[in-house]
Amino acid sequence: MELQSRYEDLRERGVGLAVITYDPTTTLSEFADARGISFPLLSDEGSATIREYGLLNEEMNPERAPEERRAMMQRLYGIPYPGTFMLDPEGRVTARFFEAAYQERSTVSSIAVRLGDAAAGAAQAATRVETDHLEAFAWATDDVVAPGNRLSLVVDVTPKRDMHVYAPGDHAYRVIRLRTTAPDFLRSHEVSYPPSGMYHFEPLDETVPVYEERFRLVQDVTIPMRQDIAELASRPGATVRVEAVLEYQACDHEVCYLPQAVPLSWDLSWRPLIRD
Amino acid sequence: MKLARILTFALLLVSAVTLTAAAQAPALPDVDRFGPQVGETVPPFALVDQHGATRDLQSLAGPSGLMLVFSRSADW
Repeated sequence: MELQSRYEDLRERGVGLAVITYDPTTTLSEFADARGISFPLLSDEGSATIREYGLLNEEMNPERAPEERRAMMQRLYGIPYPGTFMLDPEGRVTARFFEAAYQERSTVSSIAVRLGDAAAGAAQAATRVETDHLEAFAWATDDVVAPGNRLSLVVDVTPKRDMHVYAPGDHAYRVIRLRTTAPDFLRSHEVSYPPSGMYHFEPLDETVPVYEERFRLVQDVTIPMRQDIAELASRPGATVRVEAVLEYQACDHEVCYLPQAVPLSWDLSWRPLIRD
Repeated sequence: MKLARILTFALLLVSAVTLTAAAQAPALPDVDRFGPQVGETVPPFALVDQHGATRDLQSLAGPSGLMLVFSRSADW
């Protein structure tokens, strides 16, 4: 389980980990034994805490379901909207990560990267590419994934000497971005851009937002929980290659170069869903 | 095999809920509105863990805080 694999890492950083579900303790203790889980799994049977946190998933309310689904909803009702709170030692929320679909969850490493933790996890499925204008170190927060995971594709970009690439803003240059191209079931979220610098181009007397130093692009992607994807993922030894294109335009103090498209890929393996 | 059955059930649920969603086509809720927001203090709780021990926020947090995950069932 992804959380268990990051537990030690979190503990070393002084961060506790706990998961709340609506299951009775017997279910949780069987689950913990079967999966080798050592962090606390908390039983909120009856969903009182889930309700108190305002996280009860009302879409599962059997009274709102059509007749034929009511029995199934009866069993589902009580689950929370899935999500993660980062709390300080006093219980104040410092960050939160929630998903609308109840089968989806951000991986721990993805959360760490989005919190700006430069050292988050080890760089997984990493590749280095070099063009005339920049060096890019592309990696993923997770190299073992499962349907329902939201992970981050990360590109650390270092423009070469005197080069700059363009940040989002009011200008006509091609903004650097990562466009995922495969697999088609991947759902891309908005790219997160770091603060940029301003560049004054004297000949045109224009000032535009650019990156001249090393910076990081974070592109979150969700692998939907779908039957066909779960079947793919459960084949022994199955892997998935995520492909994307790093698009950018680079200029130096004199020349603006043609927009570029650099193919990148990440080879990930599926987390086994069924264990003997 | 038990876990295989669990997986099958989970997938059945997924397709059932997806079908329901497709039939009714409700918009996905804005989940960012739900629950304690950044800067707010979360409600206290006392819940029993898989070993039968009662845990509260203080006993779960490390010196740098706590990652508190709300998840769907461990059973499906």
